[in-house]
Amino acid sequence: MLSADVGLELQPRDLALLVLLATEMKARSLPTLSLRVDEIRILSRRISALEGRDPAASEKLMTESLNRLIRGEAIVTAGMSRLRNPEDAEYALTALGESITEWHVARARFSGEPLEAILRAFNAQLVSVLDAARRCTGPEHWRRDVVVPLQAVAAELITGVQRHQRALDREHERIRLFVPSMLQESSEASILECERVLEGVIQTVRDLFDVTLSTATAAFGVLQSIGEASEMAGVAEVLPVCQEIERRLESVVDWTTQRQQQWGAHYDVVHAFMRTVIRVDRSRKITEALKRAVADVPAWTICLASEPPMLQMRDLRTEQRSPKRALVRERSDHSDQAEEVAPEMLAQKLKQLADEAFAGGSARWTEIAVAAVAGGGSTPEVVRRLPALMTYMIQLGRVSPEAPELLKVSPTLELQELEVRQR
Amino acid sequence: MIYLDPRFAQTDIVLRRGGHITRVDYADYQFIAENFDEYELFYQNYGCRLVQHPDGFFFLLAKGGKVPVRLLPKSAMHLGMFIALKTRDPEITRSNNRITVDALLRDLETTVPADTLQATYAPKQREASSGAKVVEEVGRCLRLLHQLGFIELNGDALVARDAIRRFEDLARHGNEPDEINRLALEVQRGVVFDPAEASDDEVNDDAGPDK
Repeated sequence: MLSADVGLELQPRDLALLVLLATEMKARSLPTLSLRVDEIRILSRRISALEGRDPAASEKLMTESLNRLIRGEAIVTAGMSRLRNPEDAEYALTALGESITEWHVARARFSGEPLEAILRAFNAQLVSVLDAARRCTGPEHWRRDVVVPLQAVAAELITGVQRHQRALDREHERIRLFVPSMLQESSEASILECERVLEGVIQTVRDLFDVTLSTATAAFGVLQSIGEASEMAGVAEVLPVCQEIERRLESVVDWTTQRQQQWGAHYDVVHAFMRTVIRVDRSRKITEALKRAVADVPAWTICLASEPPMLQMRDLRTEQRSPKRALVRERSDHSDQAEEVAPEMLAQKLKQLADEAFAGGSARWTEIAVAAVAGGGSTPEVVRRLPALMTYMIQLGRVSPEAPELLKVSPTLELQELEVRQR
Repeated sequence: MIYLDPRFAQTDIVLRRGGHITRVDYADYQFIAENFDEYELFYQNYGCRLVQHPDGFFFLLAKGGKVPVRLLPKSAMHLGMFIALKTRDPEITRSNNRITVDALLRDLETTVPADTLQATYAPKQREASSGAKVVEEVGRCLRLLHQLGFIELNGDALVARDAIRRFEDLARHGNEPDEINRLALEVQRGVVFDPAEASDDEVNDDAGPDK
């Protein structure tokens, strides 16, 4: 639990001092765990110089910063020397102080600005290529002023964007790995800080998404204009380059969309964790109780509704089953007038009918189909072979230009007429 | 009249089989939230009660009603509590709340005392041969918890749903609720203390195949 005199209300200057303290401790040839006041004073003056303030006022600012950092449990006084002389006091970073430092360093690195700059520079280059394209007079100009610059721009885009994408991925991964250590801290300040930085990350991702979409849309428009200009000029080699750049741009947009979803999911998970675990159980009482509970066999359980699945009764299933046909001996005293045509013979038979009809001057599709059905072919089998028959008939002669009419071939089949005449 | 709506039949089946409807089942959750009063009236005739947990999810409290009930086996209870504990670890945010079954087994082995593991997951086995039985029992419990909507089991990994908070009901009272809280947990959450006293017939721990 936080006591009343503990509170982390840090100002930018305090954070800067904290980061400098941590950096200074690590940078020494012999790493140290604490810094003396006179050493901190030098760091404070450096901050004042950066801020453009009077170094003389930095003493008061340093004292205030140190007080706030101590109150927030980001630093502590190390050793007993302070009891004798405050000037000899040494300060060391707490775990919280180290976490805040790492957090700010990680966050400062996470920015989508370079990608935005790369895309904007890319668009500016594309516009200049479009201007050059509009001025081109011959194929040589096109090659020198459009194709080569486009290829260079594309290569630059790919390497620049990919490098930055990898860097952003690494930075986000670092933040993802770092969040649990912030959430481990019981301090309210570290949780608020975590929330604030996550907001910053998600805002960066959203901005990046918006910028990528708007820049890519503008680039697609410029590329299309370049492509159209090259087509009008009859230069063939520009279009493939434009298409390749469009493909690369689409992959940049896809990457941004994908990362927005992934980072958004992580943001939701961390926020849900803070909402359902951290805020509900600040003192970790539930967690500790659960730890104790799982060390033993549970002495309680939960009563759950357990209606069995509904069974389908046997008699109901029998009713739904289709009745079996009674076995009947085949009649030997009866035969159909029509001759049964085996399906594999039907295609040949249709071609034969077409040939016979065509020998008389013209072949009509419907007549052939009617003859095939009358000859014993079943309607579905005849229908299945009609596309092949059409191809065969068209190869025989020329198609009659008269408007085709719809004719009935069998009680269940109507066909649009196709008449083929000799050439 | 919501009873003719297909979503009513769908949610009713889940609830009657001991399932939990969380915000993940967005359409069903929304439907119940909008028609909560009608659901309550409907289940009253069965002597049951539709409950909305403080964490938002819905479940049916059927104890003492006309709908059959079962007690969650102690192995599933223990695993449920263990998963609830894992979801309270900030490290879980690194994997977007995903826990692999291998990691779960590993953590069970390192966190829970061996005699508790054996007594909970393989009570009838000799110690030397209990390891495989524990793994088998954990797999069975995971499928059961998945069927009841406590977790989402996808191949070799799981994601706990909000309903896993039911296993924290006792921990919220430091594992030792006073008389009033015991009564409240029994009546409002369907908690059964001393499950050994309950009839074995009530315990149906058939996990069945994966959904």
